[in-house]
Amino acid sequence: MQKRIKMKKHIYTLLALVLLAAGCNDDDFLDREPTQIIPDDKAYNSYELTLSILADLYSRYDDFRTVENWQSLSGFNLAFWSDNGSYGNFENNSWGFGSWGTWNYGYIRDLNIFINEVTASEGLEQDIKDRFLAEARFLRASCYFSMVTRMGGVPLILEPLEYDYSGDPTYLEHPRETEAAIYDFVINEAEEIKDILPQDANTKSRASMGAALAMQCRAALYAGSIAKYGASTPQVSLPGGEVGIPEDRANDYYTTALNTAKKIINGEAGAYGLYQKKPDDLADNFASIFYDKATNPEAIFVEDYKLQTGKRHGFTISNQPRFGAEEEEGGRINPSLNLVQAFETLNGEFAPIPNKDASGEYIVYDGVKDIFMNRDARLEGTVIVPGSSFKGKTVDILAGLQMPDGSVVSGDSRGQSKNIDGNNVQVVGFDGPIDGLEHVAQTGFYIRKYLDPKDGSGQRGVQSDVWFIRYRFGEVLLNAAEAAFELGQPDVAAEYMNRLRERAGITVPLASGDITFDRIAHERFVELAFEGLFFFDIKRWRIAHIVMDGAEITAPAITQNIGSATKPLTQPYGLWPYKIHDPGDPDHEKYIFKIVRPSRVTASDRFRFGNYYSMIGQDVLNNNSKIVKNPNH
Amino acid sequence: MTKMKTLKINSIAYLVVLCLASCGIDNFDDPETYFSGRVVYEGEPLQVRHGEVGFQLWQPGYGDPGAIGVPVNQDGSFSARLFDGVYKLVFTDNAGPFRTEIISEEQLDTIFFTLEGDMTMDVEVTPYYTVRDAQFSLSGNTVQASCSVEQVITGEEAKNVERVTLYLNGTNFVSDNDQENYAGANAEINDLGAVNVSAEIPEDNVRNYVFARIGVKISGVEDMIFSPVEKLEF
Repeated sequence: MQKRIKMKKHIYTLLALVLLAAGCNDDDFLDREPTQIIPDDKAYNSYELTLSILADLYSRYDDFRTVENWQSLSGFNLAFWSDNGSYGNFENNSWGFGSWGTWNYGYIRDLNIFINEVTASEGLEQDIKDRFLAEARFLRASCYFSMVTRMGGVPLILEPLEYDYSGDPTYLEHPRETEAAIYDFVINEAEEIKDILPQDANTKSRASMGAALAMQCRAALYAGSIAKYGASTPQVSLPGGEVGIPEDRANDYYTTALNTAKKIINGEAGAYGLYQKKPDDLADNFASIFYDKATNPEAIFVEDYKLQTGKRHGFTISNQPRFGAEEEEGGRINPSLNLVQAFETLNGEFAPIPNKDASGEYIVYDGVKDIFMNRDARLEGTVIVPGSSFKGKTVDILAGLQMPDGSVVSGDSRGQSKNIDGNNVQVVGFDGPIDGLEHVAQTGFYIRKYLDPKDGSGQRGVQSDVWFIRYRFGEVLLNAAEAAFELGQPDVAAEYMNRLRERAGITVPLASGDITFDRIAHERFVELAFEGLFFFDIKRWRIAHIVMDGAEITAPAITQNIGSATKPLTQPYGLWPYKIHDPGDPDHEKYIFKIVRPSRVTASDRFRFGNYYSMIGQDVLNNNSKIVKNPNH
Repeated sequence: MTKMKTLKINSIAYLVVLCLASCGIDNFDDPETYFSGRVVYEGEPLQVRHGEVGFQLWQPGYGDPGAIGVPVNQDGSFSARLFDGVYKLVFTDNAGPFRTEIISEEQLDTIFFTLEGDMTMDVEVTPYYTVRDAQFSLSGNTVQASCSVEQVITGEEAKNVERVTLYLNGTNFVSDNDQENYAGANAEINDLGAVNVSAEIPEDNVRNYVFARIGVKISGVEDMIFSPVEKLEF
């Protein structure tokens, strides 16, 4: 017995020794190629692998607004949100200083690594390397552009920072650049890469010469307006220039913006132009810009999607008209009357939606859609109004029946019928509006922009591949118009704006004498509604604190001053159609319209000086003693 | 058999002790020291919008610093429950309708204080304007108000009055940006020393009282300065 144990011990000892010895010698055995990680030298020497790394970087583009998040496109009371979880946004008064903040240096680092590795690569051909590098620099400039609009000047990091483990990381602390320096960086990068990138209007989801120029144009315009209008709000600036741009630089920036825009407009970057494929239906034409992906000359740079892949989105599911929808949901974005009435008449005049005559009586309309006749075609290209249709189905928006005694009969469930004088009559539409019921048109309107007319786009299993346009030709025209106006060339501004207005069916062109700041602001407001640019417009013009001054909008005030850039936009309003029920009367089954404020809107938005530039996180300030805080925080 | 029972009882006892003990180890005591006071000018508390004006407290010496925000109530008072310790009190730039006092060249306007037990402190600031002698009266559905607006900061840093507004509200939170605001009416300013303004109570008011307050908007200053809130009963 004892002997055996002893023997066993010996065997174990021997085995252990053998194992140890073998392990020591066999370097090849332990040193293996990883099967899940591709090492740098392999990755950056292969075209396909480098392209896939770049694809990842593209997918992380710093989008402030995107169709993947319907709320992100429809804020600031351009719409009411018909969604139970979102009413809180209309019940609070102000935004936190941290709102809209970003500090996207993880992405910047990955871009810097990519640029270093591709530069050092020996396995890639030179022209491929050049294009990859230019694309990465475009993405990096885009990210800095996004950061500067939200945070002001930020540290400009163009190399991957490496810690040397010396115990003293202070050499990694970089101070903020001035706001102007970041804009200059974006403008200069675009200038340097534009000729390397393909001069091809059909390259839309990758960086092209057109995309670089469009970015340069927008950045220069933003910088110019911050320089010019920043003077009106000295509270929104920092002594070191991290926020605020010297006023004397405005003209240079505006000149850059105008010249850059002209390059795109004159076709130097490729065959870009306005989308005009459907001249017979101008509203449909306008809506098509955002979903027609076949040789669309308007789109310059987009985030693209593809069905039957992981890259698709549910914008249509969230916002399709509720009645007859492919899924039991939809209708979340309800454009506000504030926006709807801003679309001019076809004569190019500002006018409220005419629901009452001069004596204050309701105007009676034969059809529910008649009240919206003779309006800028962009209205129905952007908004689904009562009586218009989506996917061949007419929306059923009706708030109630107007009885002869002045009372209103309505219901609290979609499409409800009630017994009136012995007859069963439908008293409320299948699309509402029913106050406080989510997914119905609580303002009386649905959104049309970005809605995908393809079958199945409203199904969760299918979803939508409508692209999100980041830069388009229409915006370039508006940028050019604004820059020209600021440079004292109203005739040039009028010419560019008239191209857009003509496409929208407006018959009376603007003369150069009509061009004012309010005109420019208004044209951008209606043309670019729900494209995520309005927020940056009111910030760079320094009118956000006036437009959203925290004061309630009263019912009489809502229809006044249409077309004024500083018209308050603190609360969304709605316009509800009612059907007259008075058998025997000539007005029976005709319509009247009432201006309402959804009852969930209990507060009014207030944009504070501290909201112009978002708060820099305390963790960032603690980690880097060279960072100064943004003003008013 | 008995041994087993003892074991069982013992183990339960251990568990109970462990549970209780762990509670004590994991958690800090609540902060129990009250730091309260008012933001004042010449001993009078400043009337502002509730929750809008505030200051930050910084407590150095505990790793990563972070501000403790203390909001000021609409009557100028504030209160925070803190740990004892050394604190710095600082207003953010452009906070409130006032200028802070520069204490010394190194310290600027930062106030240093040490908390050892409950403490009240009046923080002295200089407003651009004050609202004095606010009088409110009710006749029918109309609230009549008068006051005198006195300029405090003159010279280079003086600022103009943009408007003087009478606010009515169904609750006692009355300001330019509050829910249930009934009405606001701007005064015609001829003489800042004697401002008269009136506003109508809307007909849908179901209460038998209304709260009123006069606010002064100073141009270039975000936060308004107000008179005290007055409750008017029918």
